[in-house]
Parts: sequence; C-alpha cells; structure tokens
Amino acid sequence: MIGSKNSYSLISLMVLLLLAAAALGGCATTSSSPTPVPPVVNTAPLELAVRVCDSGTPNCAGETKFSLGSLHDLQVSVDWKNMPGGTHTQEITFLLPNGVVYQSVSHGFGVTEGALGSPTVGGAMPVAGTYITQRELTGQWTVKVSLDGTVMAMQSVEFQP
Amino acid sequence: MFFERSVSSRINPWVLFLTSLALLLGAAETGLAREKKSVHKSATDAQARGGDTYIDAGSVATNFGAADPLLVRSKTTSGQRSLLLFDLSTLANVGVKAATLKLNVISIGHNNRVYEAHNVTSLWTELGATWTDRFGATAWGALGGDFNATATDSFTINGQTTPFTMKFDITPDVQGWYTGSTNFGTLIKQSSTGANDATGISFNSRETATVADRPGLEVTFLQQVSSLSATAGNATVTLNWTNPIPLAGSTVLESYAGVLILRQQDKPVSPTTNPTDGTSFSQCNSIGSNNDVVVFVDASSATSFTDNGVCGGLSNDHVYSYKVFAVDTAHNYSTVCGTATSGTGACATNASAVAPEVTAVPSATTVYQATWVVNTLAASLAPPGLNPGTSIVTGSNKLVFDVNASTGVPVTPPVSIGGTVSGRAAEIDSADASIGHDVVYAPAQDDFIYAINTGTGAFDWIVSPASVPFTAGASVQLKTFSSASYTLAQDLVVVGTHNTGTTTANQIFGLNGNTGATVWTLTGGSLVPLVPSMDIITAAPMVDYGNNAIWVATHSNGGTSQPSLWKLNSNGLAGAGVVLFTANLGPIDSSPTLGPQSDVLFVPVTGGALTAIDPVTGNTLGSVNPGDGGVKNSPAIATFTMPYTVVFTTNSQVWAYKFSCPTTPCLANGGTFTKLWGGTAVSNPSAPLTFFGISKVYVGDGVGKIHELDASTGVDGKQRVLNPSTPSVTVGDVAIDSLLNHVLASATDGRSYAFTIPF
Repeated sequence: MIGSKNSYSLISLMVLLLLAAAALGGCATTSSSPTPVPPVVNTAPLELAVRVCDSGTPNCAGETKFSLGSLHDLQVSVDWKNMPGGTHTQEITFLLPNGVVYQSVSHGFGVTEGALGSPTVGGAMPVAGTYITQRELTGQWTVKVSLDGTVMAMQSVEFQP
Repeated sequence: MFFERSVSSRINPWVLFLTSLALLLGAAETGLAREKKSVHKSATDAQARGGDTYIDAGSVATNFGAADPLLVRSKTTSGQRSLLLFDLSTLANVGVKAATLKLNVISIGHNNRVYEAHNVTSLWTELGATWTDRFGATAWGALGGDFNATATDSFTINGQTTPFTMKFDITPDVQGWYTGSTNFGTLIKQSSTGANDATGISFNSRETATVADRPGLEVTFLQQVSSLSATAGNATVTLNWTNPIPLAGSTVLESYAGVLILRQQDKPVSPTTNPTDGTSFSQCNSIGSNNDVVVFVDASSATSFTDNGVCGGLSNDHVYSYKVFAVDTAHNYSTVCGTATSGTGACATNASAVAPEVTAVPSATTVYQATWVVNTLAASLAPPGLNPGTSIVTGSNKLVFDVNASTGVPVTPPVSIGGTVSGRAAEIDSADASIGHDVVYAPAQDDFIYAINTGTGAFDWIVSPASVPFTAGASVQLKTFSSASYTLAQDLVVVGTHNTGTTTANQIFGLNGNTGATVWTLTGGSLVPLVPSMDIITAAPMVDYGNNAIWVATHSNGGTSQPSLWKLNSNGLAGAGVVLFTANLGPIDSSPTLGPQSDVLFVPVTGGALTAIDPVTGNTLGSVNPGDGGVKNSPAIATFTMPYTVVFTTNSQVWAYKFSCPTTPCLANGGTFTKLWGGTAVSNPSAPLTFFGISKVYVGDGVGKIHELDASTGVDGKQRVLNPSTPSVTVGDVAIDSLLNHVLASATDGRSYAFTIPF
C-alpha cells in the first residue's frame, strides 16, 4: 500500500519514476529552464512516507478508512528522508471521489544548506461538522502530496458513512 | 527567446541568424497567439493587487516595500532576495500562451553569476514582507521566503552592461495562476551554488519614476469570448457570444478568426480537452479522452451557432455542455497551453477550464438552459456570496472568485489567499459597508480572516485573532441597518473557530469591519468573565438586528452537557462580557434562522429537532422532529409574519411546518408546529431556500440537480440539472439573486451555476 508507514522503498521507486517522467516532459508544469540548478549535490534518493490519521487519534500509525460520524480533521503527515538542503514547499491536495480538487494546504520549510534533512511536514483538512459530513461526501478520496510543484505520492482514503 | 541569457551561446549560429531574420520580417511570432501585453504599474494600471520588495538576511526584520531599486545578491549572512507580484486584473479572461518577467537591471556584480526566478508559495504583502515574516508577525515557513526549490527559469550574467533587461520565462507559473494555483508572485535570488557576491544586482522597482523601467510581466494570450448564452429548443440549441476585441495597450500578433465549439452529452466538456494549437479541426472531429465533439468551426467571426443535431444528433431531454474557444488565424486556441511547444506536455493542468462553457437541455416539452456556468477550479458547497444584480463571490479552495452576476464572467482573475474558504463569503455593497466600498469578508482555514476590496481585489486587511482554522463563513452586522442600541462606530464582522483540539475552548471574535481590529473576544471556558465551555463552530453566526444580538451555533461535545446556542451582545460591553444567554440543545452544524419579525428563532439541531426559541427570553417555544434522521440543515421561512411557514430538510426529504402561537409574546412551550406538507423526496438535500413572496422552495440534491418545490404544497414540480455525471455530483446550498431572478449554487464538479427562476 502506497503511503503506509515505513513503505519507503516503494515510495522511493515511485518518486524516481515521477521525477523521470517529469524529466521526460510528461509533466506540464515543470520548469522550462534550460539551466536547472540542483539544490545540493547528493546521490541519496529522496524518500517519503505518508500517514493519514484522524487528528483526534493519538499515536496514529496511519489509516485508510474513516467514519464521517467520528472524524475530526483528516491529518496528513509526510515523513521525508534525504531532503536536499534549501527552501522547499510541500502541498497536500485533497481530491473528491470524482477527482475534483476539494482543497489544499501548503507549507514552506527549510533544510540546512549542504545537508540532507528528514523533516516531517503535515497538513489537515477539517471534517467534523463541515459540508463533508453535512452532505455525506463519502467514498474514495485521494490525498496527493507534492513537493516544489511535483507530485510525489498519492494515497486513497475512504470516507464511510 | 532571450538572447541575453547565457544559454544563447549554445545555440547554433545559423539558428540565431534565421531567427533574427524572421524577427525582422515580422514572422518570428509564428505560433504565438494574437495579443501580447506588458503588465506593470502605470497611470492606467494601478496594480492594486501587485507589489514588489526585497528581503535582507542582514536586516531580517526590515521591510523594503518602498525601496527603489530592489536588490539581489548571495552573500553569507547578508544576502538579499526580491519579491514581485503582478496584478493581472487587466487580463481577467484569457488563455495564457507565454509570460516573460522583465527587470531593468541598473547595476551588476560578478560576471557569470546565475539568477533564478522561483514561484512563491505563500502569501506576502509589499509593506509587510521581511526576511523572517510574510506580513505582520506571520513568519515564512523558511527564512528568506517560501518558494518552489526548482527555479522556473534562470539568467546568467554574461558581459552585459547596465542598464539592460533581465528576462525570465515564467510561463508555467503564470499559466498555473489561471488554472487553480495561487498567485503569490515570483522570488528572484542568486543560485545557491554561487559564492559570495558582495554586489549582486539591483533593478528598478515599481516605485521608480520612469514607467518603462518598472518591472513588467509580458503576457502573450488569447482572450475568451464573452456573453456566452444558450437557448434550448426542440432538438436544437442556439449559442450566442461576443468575440473579443484587442485590449487597450496590447500588441496584436495575429487576428482573431472565430471560434471552435466543443459539445458533450450528459457530462461537461472536459477541462483537460485542449484543441492543439496550430492544428485546424473539422466539424465532428473528436478531441481528448472525454471524446468531446467539435460541432462548430468558424473563421468568419460568427457570433451565433444553432446546433440542430450535427455529428450524431441532439436527443431531447438530455443535458448538453458546450465550451467555446476563441481561435486566431494561426489556429491558436484560447486554452492555457504554451505555443512554443504546442501539443502534449505544453498545457497547464485543466488548461481549457478557463474557456467559457454553458449547458442546455433541448426538449419537445420543457426546454431550459443554465444562465451561466463558471469553472471555479475546485469544489465548494457553500452558497455563493451575493451583491444582488452586480456580482457573485465564491470561495474555492484558496481562490476567491468575483464574477459578473448577469453573465458569470469573472471580473478579475481569482484572488489568491493563504487558506481554503469553506464557508460563504460575506459580500457587502459599498452603499451599506462602513468601509466605504464593495468588500468581501472571508474566514479561511489558514487561521486568517481576509477583507478584500472587490472593486480592486486588493486586501483591505488580513488578521489572525487566533492560531486555529475558520471553516464557517463570517456574518456582518452593518451599522447602517442597526438600531441605536448598536454603539459601535463601524460594521462588526463575527467569526468562530473550528479548533477540533478542544471541545471547550473555542472562540468567537467580533472584528472591526474597517480595520480587522478585535472589538471583543469570547473564549469558551474562561473564568473572567465566566463563559461556559464552547465546542467547534461550523455554521456562520447570524445577526439579529431586531434584538441587536449575534446568534452562534456550536457543537457541544456530542451531547447536551454544554451549550450549543449562544446569544451575544453585538457591542461586547466591557466588563460584562458578551454572552446574553446560552441553550444546551445538542450539536448544531448549521445556522439558525430568525423569523422576519425577530420574534422566533428556528434552530436546526443536527440529527434532532427543529427547535423554536424566543430570541428575547431564550425560552423554548416548541420543537418538531419528523424523523428521517432528524433535521439536517438551516431552515427557511416562507412567510413574513406569524404563523410562520418553516421549510427544512432531513436525510432525504423536505418538510414544511406551520409554527403558530396563541399569545404575543409567545410563552414557553406555547408554540405549535403543524405539518403543512412533506416529506417531499429529495436525495441528500441541501439547505432549502425560500422567502416571503416567491412561493417556491429551492433545494440542491446529491445527484446534480436543483429542485423547485411549490411552497404551498411541496410538489417537486420542476428541476434543473446542473451535471448528471457519474459519479454523482452533489449540489451545494443555494442562493437567490432577487434582482436578476437567478438561483445560484456551486457543486462538487468544481463549478458554479445560475438558472433563471421560476423554472
């Protein structure tokens, strides 16, 4: 399962594939710069693990199904490894079962120049009492994690009545 | 092409020669779209939403928003970076093909240094940004600004002499700003791989006297058609539109030729279906994986097309979606696709979402069409905010759209803010607002409340009274409509927090509508003054002008052990607190509704009873729960005086009850609910909407429709299909523009719709 805790190897492979696809021009929004500048010289592959939890659940290791009747906020935590030094922006996008964007949350963060960092960067989507529960927007939602404008991981979560 | 850039040295000299020759012959723009315009601050463009500044690692708390020139250099502990933001209001409805940032560099340091343009990812302000903070005391996520690590473009100093124009191709960023990404501008920095450069570069800011020297964003684009409308008939649909004319100040590259129209049945034309630039299409061609069909190709500037069933025919009583692209003589289309590399990979995500679309239902018996449809690039279920007859405001993810109420055409590109607006944006007309101009108040999930001047799109103020999210809309008590008992000098904006980390200590704030300053604060569980526990707030507060009070509904920790209905003193009297009384009714998700005479408050207890409260005494006057899972949304009132006809929804039905009381004022438990009709079956209904004089009830459902019920009988007489797609589309809470006779709603397909009423 993509994004389950400690699934670094699988996600690393996906990251590499995504980066390769971007390099081959498959991503419409990648830079058109002819002189891309790598943020830091390193060979360690960037890795991530995605945990999706109810904000009201302590010590949550990651879940894929949530009951709308009890869900507080959908809390997403992304554990990064080998993050190059410099400034980065992580964006978490929540997609409805029909694939339409419902909302997104982004965070800028920094890693010491010249080093590889292991930050955990999160974001949440309020659920309790919102239109998600009022109108019972159940089904398979998608959590999309992007780093610096490039999609790095997608995970499906199910909202149940 | 950017010949100043070092990359040009790697280009084959013959290519350079031929390209230069083509430029001289005026043919080098082949493949470019029709118009090119430079956006910058000038006498005719105030750039109200724009700004520029630099931030300094050596003066981390100093703002340089008024500085000229701006500085960029990479130097340990004292480097500088520059921030630029352009107001694209003059290019509100365009398909962007290319965008070039131009800076007038007046001094340079070391040769061969690389300068980079990065897309900024957090909101900042010209007079607030510093090395540490975005605005006010709000810190960047990382010191020195939040931006994408990968440069959008770069420029290498290569022997230039000053002054010269430094250019960056930021096409992907600008295209993103039109297709759902936030526009927080561009950051210019030296490459982090460079060593210390004590001088760096300086370039003129927008404060410099010579207009031509100010930073500019040169955008190449096609405008969209405007005033698109559809008229359905018996097996026919007629479309009308107005073709664009060149904008003032633009350079015309190629002539507009006409339009290309795509059609789809029983689902929208896909926002990812893009007619490829440079390609001519024929009628009945199919484009994209959605198999959208070309039904009209015109090169004679036609302004009308009647679809009599070309390319497979029109079947009555089906929903047809049309999307109209402007096209020029080189077959460039008004999509957000780059012309330099047309085709696969050249288009932004949802590159055709910006092209106007409309829907119509031909029929032998009951024809209808949407008055307008606007793609808001993300889903929202909040009712649109209204300035009746003038504009509609819809929050969608982190964008706030202001569209013309008559046509649905965006007045400006959406305003980018820092967090999702999930409640209704409160729009106030200039004639009523104490701030003196049209304004929108939008609480957001990034813990901020935004006041936006809808005339310019500029921020009036941004405040964060608490570091917790806001999911409900704001309510505004307007001084001009308030009684003498309202003692505040300005309008009052009331917002409540959605802090799921506590069930006891949520907060309500009363803010000065002119400045955002906190007038009063109510914190659940505080001891001085004594305030009961307060759970999350998911419903917009409600203003009670008759009693000079604010009503707030809250959750209540899952039961009735703590309050869920709060009556607050608008004035927030010092020392006495603001709570006038509370009621423990059980969790409430939706706003209560006040009788037009301010004599009964109807409170929808989620999954429970519709409860009538005396707004003066707080007494419960009566309640009703018809079953079907209990009350679901805010009620609506169809009568002007007692007895009131109250309409509300449950899980799958709509109900109307008469509420009456034999005494005036009504005594505790003295009121009576009498069923008038119901339950009328409506799948997953929204909050209903009706009011005195319209005799209809409008309600959205969970399968893509708005229903029109007879307010007297509850008969579900007519419906309007917004989008019958599978999986089904949920229609949000509706709004009514009583001046234009429109019912409005947004939906989970990422669009807002308007239909003429009555159906």
